[in-house]
Amino acid sequence: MSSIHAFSLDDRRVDAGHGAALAVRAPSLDAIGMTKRFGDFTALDHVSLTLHPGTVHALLGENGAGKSTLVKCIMGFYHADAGELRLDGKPLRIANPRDAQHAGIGMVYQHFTLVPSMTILENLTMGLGFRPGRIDWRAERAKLEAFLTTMPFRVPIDSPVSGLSAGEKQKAEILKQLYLKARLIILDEPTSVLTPQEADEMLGLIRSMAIGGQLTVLIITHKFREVLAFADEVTVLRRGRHVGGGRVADLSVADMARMMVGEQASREHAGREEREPGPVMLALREVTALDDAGAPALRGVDLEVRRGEIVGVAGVSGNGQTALVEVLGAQRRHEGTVLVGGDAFGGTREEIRRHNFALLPEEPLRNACVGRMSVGENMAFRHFDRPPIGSGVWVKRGALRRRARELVERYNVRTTGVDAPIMTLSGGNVQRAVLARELSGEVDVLVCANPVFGLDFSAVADIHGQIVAARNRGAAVLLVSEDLDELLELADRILVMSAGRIVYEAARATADRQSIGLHMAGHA
Amino acid sequence: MNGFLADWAGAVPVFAAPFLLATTGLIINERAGVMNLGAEGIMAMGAVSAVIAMLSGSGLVAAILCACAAAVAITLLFALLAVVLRLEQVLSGLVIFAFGVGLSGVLGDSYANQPIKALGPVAPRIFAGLPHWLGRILDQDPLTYFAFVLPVLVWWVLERTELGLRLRAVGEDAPAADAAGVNVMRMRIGAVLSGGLVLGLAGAHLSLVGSQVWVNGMVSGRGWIAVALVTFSRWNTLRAIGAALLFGAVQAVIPLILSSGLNVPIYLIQMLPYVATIVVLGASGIGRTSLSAQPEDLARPFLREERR
Repeated sequence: MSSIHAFSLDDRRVDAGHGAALAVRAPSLDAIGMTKRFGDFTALDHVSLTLHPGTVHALLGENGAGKSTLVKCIMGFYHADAGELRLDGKPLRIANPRDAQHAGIGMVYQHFTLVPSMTILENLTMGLGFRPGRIDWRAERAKLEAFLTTMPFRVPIDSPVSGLSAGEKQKAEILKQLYLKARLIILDEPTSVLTPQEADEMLGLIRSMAIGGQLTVLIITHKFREVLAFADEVTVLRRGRHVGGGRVADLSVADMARMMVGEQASREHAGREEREPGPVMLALREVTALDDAGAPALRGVDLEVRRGEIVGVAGVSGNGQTALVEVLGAQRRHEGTVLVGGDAFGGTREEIRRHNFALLPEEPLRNACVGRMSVGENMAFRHFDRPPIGSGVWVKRGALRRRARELVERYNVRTTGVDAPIMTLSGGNVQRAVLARELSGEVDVLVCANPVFGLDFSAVADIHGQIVAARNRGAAVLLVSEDLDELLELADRILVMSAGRIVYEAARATADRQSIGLHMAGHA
Repeated sequence: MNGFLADWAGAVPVFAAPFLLATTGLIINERAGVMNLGAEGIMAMGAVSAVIAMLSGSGLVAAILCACAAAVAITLLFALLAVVLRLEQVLSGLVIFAFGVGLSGVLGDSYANQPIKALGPVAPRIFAGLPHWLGRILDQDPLTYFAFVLPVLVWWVLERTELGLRLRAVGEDAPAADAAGVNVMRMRIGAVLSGGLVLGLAGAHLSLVGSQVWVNGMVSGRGWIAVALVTFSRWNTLRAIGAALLFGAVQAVIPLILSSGLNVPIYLIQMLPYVATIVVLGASGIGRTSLSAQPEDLARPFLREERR
């Protein structure tokens, strides 16, 4: 850290241009008093931000803090209601993303924006602007290759993007922006799909290009680790307001965390009780399955989860985790055996009830809810056909509402009422509502997939607490997550999934980020 | 029998051409991500407009231009519904189908069943030295020649030019194309209108070269068959040539069988193209191991993320 901050910002400005492969200097950007309202809701309230040339600036905040709104105003996706932008001190008008591109401002989005069926060469050539007539592919290739020799990292340019790893795609996105002559790059949560090693490599490269004076970088993140290691300055937003910031060197994690969440007290984690795991409740033997395209997604998965333990499944997104959860939810055909409580398990209502099986899939609004149906109805999906709610033929609305109100209270679900369509709830509250449904009775087996993806601090603490509490009560918990920090915090054992297989296992005491990361990348 | 085969072979290009034009037009649409089920109606408008122009005393060129103009006009309506207003594409297509077929019937009512001077072979003498059957195949009218040149041209544009790259990107992943600075809506409207123009040519071919008369309902499902041929040719206009020749061959054999006096029920024989469609679609579904060539964003309206 100290060596990184030995530079002063001014030194760097002088240094810009020397040794830089790209002749154009990194620009500065001032956003002054940016305000954006959606109806009555003020998403962004007079936020100002200054990016110095050749620096990495982190934009920190919880979900819904206004980070995305701010950069979308800069990129021209939204039109700010007030405020102005200045590039290198000169006023800048951006009406749409194309204007931003012409001004040399590029954005790397959370989701990939390369056409999957086309090669990188085709994708990058397309962005260069329209030239009628035939494309001279040989000349385009020569141009791109010449450009790539000046870059610190390479990607295969002739294979379809769909065949690249997430890390390669992310690099290609960055290369695309540089190829399109962007000198100010905005990265939106760029590391969420990468292994820890890929993330460090990518951010390190970005940082070195900033130090070299080729780039000014604004990076949206909620990971303190990345802010500390790779950013020079930070701006913290909360509920659409600028609440703090400054030089990263002058701030501690505690400072930044306090700015992010404010003074609100988040609920304590349910403490994990030390307990010996009990008998095996969930077992998979030689489970194989195909994905939607007919390619193998699971190639022989064996795992066991015992009573009173949380088994975490780590892995880079797209290595079979989704198929694994779908198999357990009886949503994907498979070969091999799934045993719950010692019996073959096919996911029928009868079996789910008998074994007290609970499932919290990822994106619950899509995978575990009917968005237009009410909160109460969604909460009754497991029990609508049994007393006291069901009575053979009729569903008793009164009992359904009563039960829903009770769960809303107990699980802290924020909703305008139990009759509101569940799609009107925020992500965290949908998650709480589904968790309430799944955990309200006896639970012997609980399967969760990315349960806190995209949620704010208090929701994360809440939901983690519920999962640990279920474990303490004796449930066997399988926690599939792309967030390694979450697994290191919650799991008793961590399994690593790569290319449809479990390739590594580590106990809580001996788990370390390094070796898990290597196995996630399939390198060990 | 040699005579029969020569007759058959010689008739194939003329029967294949409307399929080929229509399939090519639809491929231009679908590669840009727009599914146009209105083909049948658009072709009907093309066919009737060409005949009306001819019977009103215009020349052949004017008749073809009229067919194109009418087809583009009705396609404009489709573009408005499906691309600009982002309505369900299947539904928009069905509306255009019904509207086009109906309108062509109304407009063509007083022009129906009146023979016109047809578009004939260009230069029969050039092929005089060739074997009889080969001469029959090669000696065609300009519109048929064009039908076989166009797919090659379209293939070249789609695969080799910047325009084609952008059009394919829009059909595969519209948000990504948008992020690369391609104007998705303009691209799709352009593709839909060009496709509609080619569908108009297909209709003109039916009435000017094929039947040489307007009969209400004369497109008789060829537009729908073309929709199926797009899948069969895997969204590739070069493959569409083979697919269209196959269907042209099936269709060309019908009048020959009927006139040969074979004792087969006429309805069974006239079923042939539709039976072939089912067989071909079934065949392209069986043994499909590789990923479908279907554009990823087909029939998915594009709306840039924007809260209001």
